[in-house]
Amino acid sequence: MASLAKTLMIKALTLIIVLIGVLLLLAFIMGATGLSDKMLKSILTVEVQEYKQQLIRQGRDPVAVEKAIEEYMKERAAALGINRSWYERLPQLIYRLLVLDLGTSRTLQSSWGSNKISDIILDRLPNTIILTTTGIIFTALIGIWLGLYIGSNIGSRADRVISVLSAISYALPLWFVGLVLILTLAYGPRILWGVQIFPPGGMVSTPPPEEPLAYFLDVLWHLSLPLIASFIVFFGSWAYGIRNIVFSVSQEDFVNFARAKGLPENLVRRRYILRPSLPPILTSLILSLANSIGGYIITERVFNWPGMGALYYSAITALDEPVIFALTYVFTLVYIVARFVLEVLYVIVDPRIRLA
Amino acid sequence: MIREFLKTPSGLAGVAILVIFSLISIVVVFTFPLDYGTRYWSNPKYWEDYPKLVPPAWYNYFVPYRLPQHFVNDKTAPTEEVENIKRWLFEYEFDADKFPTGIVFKYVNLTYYKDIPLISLKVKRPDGRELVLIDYDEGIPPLRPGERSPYLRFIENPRTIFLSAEPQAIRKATAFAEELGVACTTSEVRDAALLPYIVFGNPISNKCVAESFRPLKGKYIFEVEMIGDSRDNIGLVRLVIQGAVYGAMGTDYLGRDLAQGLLFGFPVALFIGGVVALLATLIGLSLGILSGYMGGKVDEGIQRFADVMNNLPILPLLILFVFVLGRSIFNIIFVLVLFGWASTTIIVRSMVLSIKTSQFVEAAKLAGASIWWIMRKHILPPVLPYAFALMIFNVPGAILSEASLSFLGLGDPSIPTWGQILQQAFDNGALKNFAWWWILPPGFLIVLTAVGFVLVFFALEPIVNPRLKRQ
Repeated sequence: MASLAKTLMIKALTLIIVLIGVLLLLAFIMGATGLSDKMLKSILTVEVQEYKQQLIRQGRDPVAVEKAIEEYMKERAAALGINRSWYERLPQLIYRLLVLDLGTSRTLQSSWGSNKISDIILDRLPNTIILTTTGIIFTALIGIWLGLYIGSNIGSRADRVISVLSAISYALPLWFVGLVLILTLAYGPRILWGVQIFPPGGMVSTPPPEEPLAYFLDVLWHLSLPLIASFIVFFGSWAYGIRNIVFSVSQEDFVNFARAKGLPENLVRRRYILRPSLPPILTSLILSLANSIGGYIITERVFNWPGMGALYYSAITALDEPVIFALTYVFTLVYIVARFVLEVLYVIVDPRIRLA
Repeated sequence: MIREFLKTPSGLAGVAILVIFSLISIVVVFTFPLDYGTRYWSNPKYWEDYPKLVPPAWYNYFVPYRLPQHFVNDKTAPTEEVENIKRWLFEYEFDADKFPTGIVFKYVNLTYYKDIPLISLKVKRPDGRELVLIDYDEGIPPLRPGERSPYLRFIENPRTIFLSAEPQAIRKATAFAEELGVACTTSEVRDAALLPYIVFGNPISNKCVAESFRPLKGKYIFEVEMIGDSRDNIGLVRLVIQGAVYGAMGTDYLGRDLAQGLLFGFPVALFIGGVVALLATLIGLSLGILSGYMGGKVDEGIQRFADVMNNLPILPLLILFVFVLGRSIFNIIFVLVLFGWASTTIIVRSMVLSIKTSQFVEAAKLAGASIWWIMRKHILPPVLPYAFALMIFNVPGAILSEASLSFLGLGDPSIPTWGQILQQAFDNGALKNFAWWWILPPGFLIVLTAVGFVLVFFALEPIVNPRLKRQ
């Protein structure tokens, strides 16, 4: 047991080092390319300009205005940290992120008007979870079920169809499938026959329905196109991946031995194939969930879905450095946490690790 | 080995796709100028005579009505010349069930000797009616002080008259509509761009809307007339009747011929995919061999790093890097290589581990061979074919990533790529306008290229991977 705790500790430590490494890398590219300085300077110019306008409106005499502006500029420059070089400034930022102080955004706001980054993320995160988590779980469950079936029927017609589907899904970008669905199922019917089968984007209708049930159904209606898209794209690769895992496990000696003992095929599948297949299946499931938090950037843009990916895109286009940092940090953090959860899960589902 | 490969239908299909795409790329590289993107594609002026946002010409075969073709005709010499009057005649056979979207009249290199010549444009309709659209071109700059005859005008920039926006033509068309029995005001004609309907149509009701006009099929004769000194001349006269279908792939909102943009995308996609896959595989291969053969701390370090790079949420980082470094094709390639080597390293390492324990390696070690010699002579050769297959497999990933970045507006702006065409389509309302010819072809080309490489990999893998072969 002590050795187990030690293993987990080492894993946790490596993952934290990875996290800090990613942040350092980010800080380095933002600082060394001068992007960070450039952004701060443009913010300072805007602030000083606003302050000057304000003073002039108050009707102060020009000499006093000049002096006040001078002082204000120094004060703001110090607050923003422009007078220090980036390698002095950024470690501080990294430290703040590590203790989960995400800071405030410069341009973006949450739906209730807060510009604290943690608020903005709390505002957007549920939307992304609704979109991607339902999509992945729905697709993965069907994929896993089918993969288990064809994994024990290698070479059948279903098997060949699935492997072709899996190849295609690798080549099909989710966002393009989204575009095609919007074109053919949302705008197409509306323009050609005047019927709205699916909405072209967004998460709820405007104005949103008042009644909770109607609201839920409305979100579901808006969710259907992205769900269909992710099903089309990921279904084949899920089924194929599971098939390969199941197939390689079923080649193992202990499975052959169980069969040779004359155990019924159902029991062999459940006890001898499924159990050892579980860790790799869990790995892909949890990692794809973790990646989906930040990975649906284009899809959210295509479907105009107000989630984390869309937030990241608007942070980049608005040059909002703190948000970019905070989001990249959160995406990486989610991945790190997911990896750790996996390590713990391996211990639970795989007795070989527990007893080692 | 090649025979074995060509036996699989999927491999054959993949090779067919790749061969066709490579041939197209070669042709494009030799026929398109290298600065095509900046000189033509992103230059809206070049496309002003093309119809805006129209489907391809073959669309006519799928709809119950005929859409008008795009008509461009240039005349370098007058058709008729009587003393001091010159005439250029354009014959336009109108046989569509829908109306053209606009009429453009252009000329270049006007030379005159005394006074500004009178330039007019009129059209004779199949029903015998005549409609004067312009009786005097007011846009010719008068004499400058000290300028000597002959006077040259519109040498660099052609004189362009968009009739649907020209007040004189709108006034005259409104009066003509009145004559036909449709009560219009000039502002109605201008705002609803009714001029082509009035020129090419007969009214079926007296309301001033596009639906009130039915196309009048037959031969139209446009006549450009210049009255002035007998030596006065025009270098080139052009009449454009903007159709509702164009070319092989239609046009976008700027009138760009999408067929050209899509063609230019072939070599760009293959270049990006090829270069990224080559570099990423080289890095992945060397790190994988190093990691697998050296073992110990080196192995642990490389594998942890590769593991992280392989699993990190990649798209946000790609976006951030390209955004910070700048939107150039070389930055995109650099970033894709930076994040693309890890999976190759992991796979190559696992192969090296099994080769390492084989007897010939042990023998070489006992014989005193150096690490580098063993890696080069004994480890690399059996891994190489599979690394080649992995390279094929890495190409579509790079092509798709470039398309994704371009779709977010982070592509190289000087080169048209399929991803950028899609991005412009998405940002400029192709979905709302149901401009399927602007959305579907670039996406399908991206997918088809990727499918080609994936199919080749699938056919190649069992041949080059001894572990899979045994099964």
